Amino acid sequence: MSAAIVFEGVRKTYGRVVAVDRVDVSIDAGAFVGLIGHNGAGKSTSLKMLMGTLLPTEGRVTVCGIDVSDNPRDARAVMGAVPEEPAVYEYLTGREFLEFVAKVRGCEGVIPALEQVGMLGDSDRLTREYSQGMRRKIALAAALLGDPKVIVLDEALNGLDPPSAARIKGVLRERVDDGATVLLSTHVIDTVERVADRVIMLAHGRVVADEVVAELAEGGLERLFLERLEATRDAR
Amino acid sequence: MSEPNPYWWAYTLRRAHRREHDGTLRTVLTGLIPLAVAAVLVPVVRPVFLGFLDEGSQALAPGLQGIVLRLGLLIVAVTALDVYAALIRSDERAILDLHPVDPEQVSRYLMGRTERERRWIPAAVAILLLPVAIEASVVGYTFSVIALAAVATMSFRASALMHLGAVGLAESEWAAPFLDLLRGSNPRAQAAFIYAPGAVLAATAGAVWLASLGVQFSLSNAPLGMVLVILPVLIGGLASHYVGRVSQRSWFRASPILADIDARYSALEQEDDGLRVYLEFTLRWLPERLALYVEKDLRHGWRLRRTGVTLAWAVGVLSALAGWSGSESAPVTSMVVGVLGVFALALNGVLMESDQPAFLREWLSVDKSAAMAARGIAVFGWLQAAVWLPLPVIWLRHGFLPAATSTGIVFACSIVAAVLVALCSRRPRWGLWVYLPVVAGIAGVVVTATRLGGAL
Repeated sequence: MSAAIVFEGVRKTYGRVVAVDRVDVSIDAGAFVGLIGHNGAGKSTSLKMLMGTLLPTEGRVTVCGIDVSDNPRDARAVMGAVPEEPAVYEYLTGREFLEFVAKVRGCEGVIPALEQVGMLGDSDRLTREYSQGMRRKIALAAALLGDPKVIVLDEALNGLDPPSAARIKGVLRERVDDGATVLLSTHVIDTVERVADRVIMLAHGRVVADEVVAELAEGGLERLFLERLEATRDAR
Repeated sequence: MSEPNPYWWAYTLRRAHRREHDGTLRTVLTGLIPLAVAAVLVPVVRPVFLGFLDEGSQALAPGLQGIVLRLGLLIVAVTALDVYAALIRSDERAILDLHPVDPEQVSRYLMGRTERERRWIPAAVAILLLPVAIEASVVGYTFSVIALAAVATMSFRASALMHLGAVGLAESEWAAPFLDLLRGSNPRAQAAFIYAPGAVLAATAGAVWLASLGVQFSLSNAPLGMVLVILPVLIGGLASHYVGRVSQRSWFRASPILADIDARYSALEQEDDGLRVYLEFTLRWLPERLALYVEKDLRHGWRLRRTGVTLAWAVGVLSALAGWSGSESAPVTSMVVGVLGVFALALNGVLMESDQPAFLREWLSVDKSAAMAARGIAVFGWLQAAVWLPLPVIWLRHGFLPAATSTGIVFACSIVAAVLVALCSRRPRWGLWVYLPVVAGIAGVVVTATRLGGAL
């Protein structure tokens, strides 16, 4: 199976501060991967390098074989992404915002995307009137437009009500079953246990665990997380 | 047929929704504010900057050349900063960075959007120069306005090209030693951006000078004059041609470079320093009841209106430069720049009310009088750079009395502006409409009285 996302010896430093330290990860196409870690573990930095909004200090990141730093436009064309704090145009309706994204991406499918995130009924209201959760859903719908091969979500399920979160998890699972790759960063271990096939754990910028979720005992992920975090602290 | 620019499409829709939301009347009135300000400034500008109109027809051509040159350079400086904010530090990057945007289309849209939102600049210039048409020469006036509109057209395009070019420079190996020499304590890449507006000014100054000479020549019917007047448009067209090419790489590279710059600034600062804002040290001298609100406003202003706040230093420098001249009228010119600058900058304090998160007002139990006083104190503090910088310069060149009088008048205006801001800050909807005419009137009276009374 070909790799959809590859981090190759990736290191990101800011002066003396090391945010991500020699990360080597390869994620196959058609995988649903959860990325977990404590605050400041390097999750968002890693995802920003994947989205091309940060450059690695060393190493390289590729998406479907495309180097994100060298070909950011091509990389973004195969990737749908929701950042930790999604931004939308405040004076567009939800539907208009998605129409804009569809024009930029050269695709269609605004209505199905709105239906998938449960926002069709509110799609003619200005996004400035939306709650934080509704904005996140619109951002998710934008990330789903054009059937991207890779979907990157940074804490994207935070702030969603349980039915919406369940619906979106279902949509993401369908996309994975159709061959897409999902990388979901979250603090919520339960979410990863329920939807992800594989979990990658970061602590202090390093990968400290890379496990198949099905092989972990019930509640094992949380235990593993705490153990590895403790071990990393001791090592430092 | 090529696809229409989707960024313009979204912008047009956003403007339409904004107009529906704000109401047509408010939208139109807001758009007219700069023109109204220009109109009320005419009586102030006329005696100070258009004094050559009183010196006979011989003085007209060189006088117009001088004013067109100065206004042209000012337009370039302002638009260069504007284009940097729109194109490089664009608020739309957070949205656009997630998608495979066409860099040429995006760059042209952001450049065009800025030009559109600043289309009042040539109109305001046309109003400020009206005394030329009324008192001296319609032809001279027309050529001056055309020349300055041409300069504005060039400036938006040249600025876009230079700022996008600065992205490449920020990363280039060969430029690294030069940037290291210039950067001071800033990250290396930031040096390329810091000096880009200056580079725009340096690169276009020649064209502005030629356009101003074109105005002078046109008055003597020299055919070369018209060519020189529109020369900036041609240079702008050339710059625009290269914007597409340069943007291909620079648009995408700008975001990670800026993210690195911001992160390096944070890493350079101590955690505590990162939280500090300009003038926060003054809080220690304030009573606790006031200090809380002053701190809130200092932070609010520094984080959301930093350009407006730091422009006080630019006004101070401008005022000091005006005072450096050996001309007898230099202290008055410096004082006028200071008074106008102080009242214009204090507008930030009124506008801050519209940035104020609604939840803050609803959730906090607000001590109204303390909040009002705090706004005035914060604004007063910000204005002081504009007040005091010219003092030593005028003192050195013209003696103590003119320096003290000029500074005293500007200082008094800063107090008046701060009090007015405090009073208007509780009326976010109409504060602007009270503030602008009142300060325009006060500025007019102060400047006219100073000149008539020969106070300096």
